[in-house]
Formats: sequence, structure tokens, C-alpha cells
Amino acid sequence: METILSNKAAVVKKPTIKDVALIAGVHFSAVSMALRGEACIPEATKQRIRKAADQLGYVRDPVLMALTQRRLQPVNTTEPQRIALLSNRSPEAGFFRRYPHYRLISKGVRHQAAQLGYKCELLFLDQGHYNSKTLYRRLKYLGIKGQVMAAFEVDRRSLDLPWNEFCVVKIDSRQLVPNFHFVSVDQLHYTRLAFQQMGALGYRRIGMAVGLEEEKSVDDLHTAALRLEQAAIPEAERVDPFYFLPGMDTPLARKAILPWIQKEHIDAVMSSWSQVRLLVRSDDERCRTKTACAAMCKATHARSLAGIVGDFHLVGRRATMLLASLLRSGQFGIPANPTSTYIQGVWQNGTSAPFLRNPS
Amino acid sequence: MKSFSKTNKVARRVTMSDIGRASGGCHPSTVSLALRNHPGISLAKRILIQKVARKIGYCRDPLLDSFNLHRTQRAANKALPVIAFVTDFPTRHSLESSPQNRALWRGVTAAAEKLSHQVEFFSLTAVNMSAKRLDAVLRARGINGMVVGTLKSRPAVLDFSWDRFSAVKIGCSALKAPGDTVEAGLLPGARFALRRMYSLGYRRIGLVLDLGSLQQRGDLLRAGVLCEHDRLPQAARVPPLILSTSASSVRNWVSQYKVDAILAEQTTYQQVVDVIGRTKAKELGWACTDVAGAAPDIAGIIIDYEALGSVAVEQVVSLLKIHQRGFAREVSMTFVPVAWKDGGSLPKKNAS
Repeated sequence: METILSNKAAVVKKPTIKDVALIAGVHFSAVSMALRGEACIPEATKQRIRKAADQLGYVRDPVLMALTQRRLQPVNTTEPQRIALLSNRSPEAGFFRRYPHYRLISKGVRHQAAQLGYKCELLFLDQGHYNSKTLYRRLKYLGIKGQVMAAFEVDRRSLDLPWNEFCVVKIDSRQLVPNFHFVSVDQLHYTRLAFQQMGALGYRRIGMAVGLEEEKSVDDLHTAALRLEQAAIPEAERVDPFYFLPGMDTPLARKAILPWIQKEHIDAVMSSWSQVRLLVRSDDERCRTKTACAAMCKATHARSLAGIVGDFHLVGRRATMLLASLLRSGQFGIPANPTSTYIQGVWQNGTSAPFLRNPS
Repeated sequence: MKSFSKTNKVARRVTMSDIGRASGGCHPSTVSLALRNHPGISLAKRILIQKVARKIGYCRDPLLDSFNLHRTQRAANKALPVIAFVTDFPTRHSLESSPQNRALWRGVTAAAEKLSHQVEFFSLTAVNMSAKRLDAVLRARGINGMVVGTLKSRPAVLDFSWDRFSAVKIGCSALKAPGDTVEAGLLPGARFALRRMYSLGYRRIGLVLDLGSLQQRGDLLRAGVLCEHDRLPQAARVPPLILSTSASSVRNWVSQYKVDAILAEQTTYQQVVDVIGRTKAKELGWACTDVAGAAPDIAGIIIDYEALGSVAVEQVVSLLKIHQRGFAREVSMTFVPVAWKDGGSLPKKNAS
């Protein structure tokens, strides 16, 4: 805030080309041309004018400079300004295929960018794509000053860029230092809503299963929400959450979760994993009682899985909107007060969690 | 002629004059106003022009956007767009009587000035004023941006035509209108508070909440405390107390859980003190959940009200920029980080 105010004060007092012209004894248009290095001004005059400008401390305004440059260009070469959408999960590693929500996020970013007049470049930081150094060069080349960092997996901790040249908004990726403004789906609200809905469907022993690393990366929001909801129910119905260990794939997770379900007499599982249905399905075909399940954040409206539908498109849109507002007011670098914005979702019933007629 | 203009369209950027021509001879300035949803242009014409703009692929130029901001910052502008700050304090003076709201107002006006907007104070409790009437006033003045700030009477509904406004709420969790809300990040704040109090030697820290007051903030604090309990030994977990009318429940809670420190808001803490007595209260440490306005040596969470105000205004301006009126179906919560301050109310204690 203070820097902006002082910038503004500096703008007011800043010498103009007219002041330079007064000292150099030329017309101000001559000053303009000389400083742009036009050939029609004699070299001696140019030097004199430059000296006068230095003496006064005249600096060319980058905004005006950019505008002049644009105006002097032939009209049809005008390229729209760009922003970058960064991810460290390349298409080869399944950016589009494996994670439907990434697709939705990038769609949202593109949509909002187009509406605000920006073009969006999708860049990947991964094997065979960019690293910090080549990325910086690429961003410079494309003249990109704003970036949305989305879908950074937990294994990547940092990125080395001269941050004060960029405006940055993060999507999820909270573990990534430094702290920028970030936008995410609302894990607190999702978990609470899912718990309440499962309760309303008649389930009594509701267990929550989330990834341990994921939980760390969202600052334990799932657990916080679960504990908050459990405070309102009898102590006997409270079930401690189950954490998937890092590196667990579906069969391993299944092996770990089934004993927990049995031991805790769980009748419904809610999980941040969208393949939760595969995890809780019992091997024993004769087993009549099935464990119900719900996803706490799913990207599709598929009816087979009950759960919260996350609005990832809106996450992308909001992040871009925030970025545009930072770019517009020139708030580059690491913010002093990084805000966090959470987007709420809606519950959708599904066959994986049917309504219980006679809750036991 | 037609084909010529078509090929031309691909080659160069669509300008406002093009839209003006395509929508039946409007001046570019009319187009500019219409694209910004200015009420001075009739609704039918606004819709027509926006439709034409979409059809022929007009896209605004961010470079010009920032240039415009730069320009308006340099020269005093005659007519800055107005954002309404709606509250139920009767006057600005009464709003600014509390340090929290004073900081909030400072943040709101500073952000508006930075973004070349103007904030105007509108009260819901001024003489002869109601939400419906205020709605009409704002409509007549063509004001679309709105920050719903601190509502002390905590109404559940406000009779506004929400779909006309780009509105952001600050707190106001009781208000049933869905939409974008800006709030202090009390969940991580409460977690930090608990950790800090624990490291100062307190072992049985209890959160006390006033029933009904600040429901959202209460939930955030409770979620933070309960979540942090998972990291503490079983013996150190004190269930939060929701303050009710019966005095004995407070006394029981303190003695049953052997509470040695309290995390509570100022007025709530006062109620606890009234019940358990001043001498007993002196033995307990106290951290305030919002130190603004508390005595200088009170430890607790610092809420940055100035940032709350400025973030709200920044969001409204962003919404205005993309002409997004009305609350979206999905709502968002934006949290502003909080800070912590040690103080005499929470002296370092030797853990036994």
C-alpha cells in the first residue's frame, strides 16, 4: 500500500519531456524523438537532450512507453497480451487424461482470460518441458507478466523465478513457496456439507478417508471440518479419520481401508479420492450389507457417485480475475497479505449412497 | 463491400467504432458506456451493443485498461464510479466509533482511491430508510458496486434486487444472500493461537464462544481449535464452551477441565469473568480472538480490518470490470491472513 502511494507521489512530481525541452532549448516533440532515437535529430542535439534529461532525472514511463510502441506498430500485428497457466504435470504425465479437474480449471482460466482480453498460454514445468531457467526465458520472450500456477503436485516444492517481475495467483498448490494469493475449492465447506448430507441420508457411522500428503497440503482443512461436525453428534458416533499413506495406489489403499471399515463399523465412507467406490466395494459377494460412499470433491456430475460437485471452472475463472486485477493495478511480486479464496460446491445424490429407510 | 469488411475484420482488431457501426450507428463513446453497463444508456441498447460486441468478437485491451487506470490516477477525475458501502450504522461517525470499523473504512476508501473508484456511505438505519428504498436510491443513481459491510443487527434478509449488483459481503454470515464473502482467516489463526499458548506453558486451553454471535467466525475458531486438538495429547483437549445463560455451566466447565487459559472474544471473556469472579479469572491466561480495541497488553489474534476492507473493494471492482452482476450460485469465501501478538494477559507459565 505504502509503496503504491509513494509511487503515485513520485508520478505527480516527475519531470516531463516539456521540462527537458525547456532546459535543452528545443521543442518537446524533439525531446520525444531524440529519446526514442529517431534518425532525424542530429547526433549533437540528441546528446544535449539526453544530458538535460539525465540532469532532470527524467525517466520514461513504462506504461506510456508500451502504449507508444503499440501505436507506432502496424495495426494488424497487434498481438493480445498474454498470461501463462503453469502446471508441473505435463500432458504426457496425464494432465488432461488423468485429472479431469485440471481440464476444467484450464478451461475456466482460458474463458476468463478471453473475456478480459488476454490470451492464455499453457506451459508445463516437467521433464521434457520447461525448467525454472528456460521458463523464465520463455515468459520474457512472450512478454508474459501474469501467471496462474495451477495443479502443482506436492512433489514440487519451489520454483525459482525473479518474482518481482510477475503477478502470480496460485490454484491449490499451497505447499509451493513463496506465498501468493490463492484460489481453491472449499475443502472446509465440502467436508461439512458431505457429512451433513450423509447424516441426513440416515448414515450414523460416517468415516472420512483422505490422503495424508493431500491433507498436509490443504492445512488439515478436511480434519478441521470433520471435527467441527463431529462436535455436534454423540461421542459414540465419532470416527477418527483414515489417512492414505503417500504412494498408495488403489489396491494398496483398498487393503488398508477395508480393515478400518470393519473395525470401526463404518456404514458410509466419504473421501477426497474420486475412485472411492472401488476402495470400499467388498470382495465377498455374499455380503449383503454394502458400505456407502461419497466423494467430497468430484469434477463430474456422474449420477453413480454421490458427493459434492466442485466448480473447478469457477476456480479457474476466479484466479484469472484476481490476476487481472493485480496486473491492472501493477501489484507485482510477493504480496504482503496473501489472501485465500475458497469456492463452495453443491451436493449431488447418487446411487453409491442410497437413502436409508430404517437407520439402525 | 460486405466481403471486404469481413476480410478486414480478421486482419485487424475490432474497435468500439466497429461495434458502433454494426449496432446501427452508435457513437464509440456510447459503445464504451454500454459495455461498462452504464445506466445512462437504455437497457435495450446496452443489451444490443453487448450482443453485437460478442458477435463480432470484440475483446478489451488489457494494455489500454491499465493505461486508463494510469491516466485516471494522474488527473483528478470528475465522475469516478461509485461503490456503495452498505451498513446499518446510522452515520459514518457511529461506524467509525469502533477501532475495527475505523480500520475497515480506511481500507475500503484507500483501495477505492487506488483503483479510481469512489466509496459512498449508505445506511440502512437512517431516517425513513429501508433496504427496499436504498435499492431504489442506488438504482436511480446508477450504482452497481456494493460492499455490504458490518451489519450489527445481523439481519437474515435484505430486500435488495441482488441480481443488479456486483456485491461482496464483509463477514455478515447471518445474511442469507449467497455470494462472495471476505472474512478474517481465523481457522489458521485459532490453530496458531493454540500452539502459541501451548508453547507458553498452558496445557488446558479452552475456547469460549458466545452463542449466536458471529456464527461464522465462531465456526472457524472452533474448527481450528478442534483440528489442533488432534495434535495435542488427549489430556490437553478441552472441548469448546458455548456460553449459555446458566452460570453454573461455566463454573463446571472451568473446574471439570481444569482450564488454565481461555481463548475468547472480549465481551465473552467479560461474561466468563463475571461468573467465575475476578480473583479466579486472574489465575487464568487469556488470549483475545480479536485484539482490536482491547487494552494494549492483551495477547491475542490481530485481525487486519484494513485488509478486509480493501480486499472487498478490489473484488467488487473486478466484478464490475467483467460486468458480473448478481450473486453466483456457487459462492466464494476469501480469507485475509491474521497475525498474533503476545501480551500481559498471557504471561509465560512454567509447565508443571
